[in-house]
Amino acid sequence: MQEQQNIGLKLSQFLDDELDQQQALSLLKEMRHNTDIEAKMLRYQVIGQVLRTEESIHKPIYLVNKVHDALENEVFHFHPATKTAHKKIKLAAIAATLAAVAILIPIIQKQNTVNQNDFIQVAQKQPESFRYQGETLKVARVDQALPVLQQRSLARERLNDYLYAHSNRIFVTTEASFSPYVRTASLHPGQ
Amino acid sequence: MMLNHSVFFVLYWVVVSLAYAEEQTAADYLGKMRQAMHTLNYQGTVVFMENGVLDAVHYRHAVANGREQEQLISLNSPAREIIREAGTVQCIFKETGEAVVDHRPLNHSFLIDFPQDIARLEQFYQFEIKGMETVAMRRCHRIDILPRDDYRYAWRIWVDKDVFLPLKIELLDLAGKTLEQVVFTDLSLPATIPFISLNDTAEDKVRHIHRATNKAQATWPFILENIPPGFETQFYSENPIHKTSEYSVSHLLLSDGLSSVSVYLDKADDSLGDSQQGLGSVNSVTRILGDKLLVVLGKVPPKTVQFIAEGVVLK
Repeated sequence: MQEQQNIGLKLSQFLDDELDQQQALSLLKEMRHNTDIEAKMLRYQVIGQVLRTEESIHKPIYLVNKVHDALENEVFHFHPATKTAHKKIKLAAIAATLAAVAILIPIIQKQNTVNQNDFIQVAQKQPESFRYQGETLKVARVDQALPVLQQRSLARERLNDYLYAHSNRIFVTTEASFSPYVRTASLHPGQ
Repeated sequence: MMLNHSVFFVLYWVVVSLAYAEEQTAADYLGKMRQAMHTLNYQGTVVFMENGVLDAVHYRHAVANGREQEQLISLNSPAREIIREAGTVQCIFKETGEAVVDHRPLNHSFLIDFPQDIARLEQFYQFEIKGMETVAMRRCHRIDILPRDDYRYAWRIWVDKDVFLPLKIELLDLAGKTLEQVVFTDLSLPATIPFISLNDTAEDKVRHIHRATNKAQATWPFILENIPPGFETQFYSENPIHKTSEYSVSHLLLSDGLSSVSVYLDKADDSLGDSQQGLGSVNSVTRILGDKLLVVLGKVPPKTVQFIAEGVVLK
């Protein structure tokens, strides 16, 4: 109870700018870890503003900024960092990065595997349609696609034979379509 | 008085000759083109464009003492040469030393197969001269060959003004969209062009594809009830056409002189059923007739192959 009264007093003094720098800094540090103190200070701030003026909206923000500024201006931050400290920080950063990578890679891999499995599962469950050699194939399941593709391949092979016999042009089945004579000749004759 | 008559006669002859020269028809140019294609030595770079695929080759046409040889030499790897001579098409693969020799009953040109009987062709196509244009830095007469019905596609040929060779050929669909192009990018006419020897390839590396001779209509296993105007039988043969099997397939070739359609009667299997397909400029129809598969295909509109296929009756 005594402690709370002291905090209240200090807050009041802080708001009235009656605390020295050391005390103000100590209070701000305390406030950083204790949200109750921060909330109390905001209430004091608002009450003080209401008593003084009708404008009460922007002041708390101003106060928060003031708190942040004070924390930023802590003496600790102005201490020059030594080379050893830099080295330690670097080592710590590298160690942290490696640790993070070591943790994240298995997670990502697992996630990818899960996604692929999900995709396959979804594909196996849902009707699938996709483009193959310029045509849209519709199959109920992915494992039904292979025989369809094989059948299409045989069909194209047969059509290719008919085209070959039709004219003085040889055609081959490619990804996109049938290629004319000259391109066909670029294939190995055994193919 | 006699002198005046002579002068008048010469002047009359000059005027008539000039008038005749002015009145060269598209058929005249096409006739000259056909003759030039078979009688001149010429070579150049030719670009083939079909189905969105482009290929450039060095083209040579050699002729000497009645012998004619057409050579296509690849500009891109792998190195290969395709030679057509006396009804035989050969493809030689330089890197492997292998060759494919296709013995065919009909002579064709790699550029365009233009019939000798142009008057007959004119019954089914309308020829129009569309002025002068430049192809491969040479002045050409552009001739449009427009079908008189919708059973065939249109052609557009640029015929060289001086030597009458076809420097550009286009096949167009019924909407006027270009389906195929063959274009010379340069042309030269040397006095002689060497023939490529066909004996360099070891016999064990040569694969021969034979075609049987024409068979009489009485032997056909089917009857054609629907034949579009102008299409006539070119040949009928029964040969193995599939690489994986040796059984014979009936093959009938129809042509109007410029457009051709093949009719096949084959064993039915699961790979092809009743369907209609467009393969670039080629349209095809397949039908199951009992245990047989009917295939009709050609560089003609879908209507044509459909019409022919619907009129095939098994004997």
